[in-house]
Amino acid sequence: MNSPREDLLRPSLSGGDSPVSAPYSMQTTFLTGFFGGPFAAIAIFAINSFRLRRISRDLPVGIGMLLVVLLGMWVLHRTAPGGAALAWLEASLGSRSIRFVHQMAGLLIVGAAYLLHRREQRNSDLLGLKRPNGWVAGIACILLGTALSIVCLAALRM
Amino acid sequence: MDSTTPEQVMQQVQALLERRRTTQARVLLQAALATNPQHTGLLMQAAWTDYLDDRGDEALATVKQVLASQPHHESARLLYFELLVKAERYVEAEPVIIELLRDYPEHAPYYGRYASLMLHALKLPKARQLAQEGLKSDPDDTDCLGAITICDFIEQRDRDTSGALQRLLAYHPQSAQTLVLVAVALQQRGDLKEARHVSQELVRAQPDNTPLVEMAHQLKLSTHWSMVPMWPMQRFGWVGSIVIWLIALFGLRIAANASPALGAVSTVVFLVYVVYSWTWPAILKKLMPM
Repeated sequence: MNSPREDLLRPSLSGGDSPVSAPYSMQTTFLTGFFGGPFAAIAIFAINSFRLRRISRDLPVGIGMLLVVLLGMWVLHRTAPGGAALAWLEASLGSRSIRFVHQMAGLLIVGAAYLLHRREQRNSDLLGLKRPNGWVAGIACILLGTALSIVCLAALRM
Repeated sequence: MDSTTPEQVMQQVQALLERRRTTQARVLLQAALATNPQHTGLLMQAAWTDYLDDRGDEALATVKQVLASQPHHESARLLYFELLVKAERYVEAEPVIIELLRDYPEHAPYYGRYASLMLHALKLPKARQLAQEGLKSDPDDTDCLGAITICDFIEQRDRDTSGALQRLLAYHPQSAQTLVLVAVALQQRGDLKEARHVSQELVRAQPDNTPLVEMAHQLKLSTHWSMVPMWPMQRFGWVGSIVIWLIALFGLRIAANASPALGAVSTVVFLVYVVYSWTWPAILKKLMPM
């Protein structure tokens, strides 16, 4: 039986597992979710999961987020209570109501993603680890997220 | 003719390196190595000098030269590990520190250095376990206590439940690492002014330490009077940004419903604040260079 010390002296960074990479910064994640909405936020969360080598842990959460977003969209656009909520928002915020829901949903996903990856984010910040440039991934996720939102909305309104 | 022995030169260089006077150390080493080019001690001090001056390639070449003739040289192996970590070659660095720990199993600092590597590789649980293992050999080792303190910061154990930072303050109050961690702790608690004072003391003691100077400069910028409106974001991070956005969204609507003029003024104020928050920190950094 291995002693605890022997377990500690077993290499963690070589072998089958490729090294973990620092995730995209919270600034990238936040702006992606804010401008791209919930699908964009889920996309950047998935990319961070891949970089952190925790796909198997985060996959159920990611699928759950997707289902919640789709269910939420269906409730808002195809049920009476959802319609009433949208009407109230439109009365409060005018033409910005849909955009507000889009941004809030994105930020809620960003918040959930932060809760899951907060240790890795804080670790990266404290150690000053080099973060990947967020422009390409952020813009790609925003475009993807926006496209998916448009497609889903169009499908729900048919 | 200079009759200074290599050992005497090494003593002088060691004293200079402890004060980070690498330029003077380099002069002494160059003269000594001219007459003793294969002296291991001088070569290692030259490599450490290059390491402190961020000349990684030169340091690596010298270390490899030493390890080629003396593969079990402890200081060379340690510096080789440090150079690999600095170059972010974590996969290659890990077996080096593991072998050092196998050869020196009671040497607590090596557990601390391995813990630091695990922190760089985002392996937080193993970092904590390694540091705690090192403390079994030396309960006051700075590297292990420092690693545990950083683990506490990452897990936001604000009340310092592990006691690591307290031990550092009690047993190593003048250590630069302790003071850096105190500055970080103060920052985390939102006490930026105190963190700035601590960082300025650190810079006075080590004016050539670039990361320290950068930290002190960043704190100086953060506590500038023109950054006061940024307080919600500084204190609460992205949650603060979201709250401000929500307040603005509904507040502007309420203001517009109350009076078009009030709505217009509120909108302008909010837009000015947004532009300020996005641009002023970068402008201030250019106005107040390091």
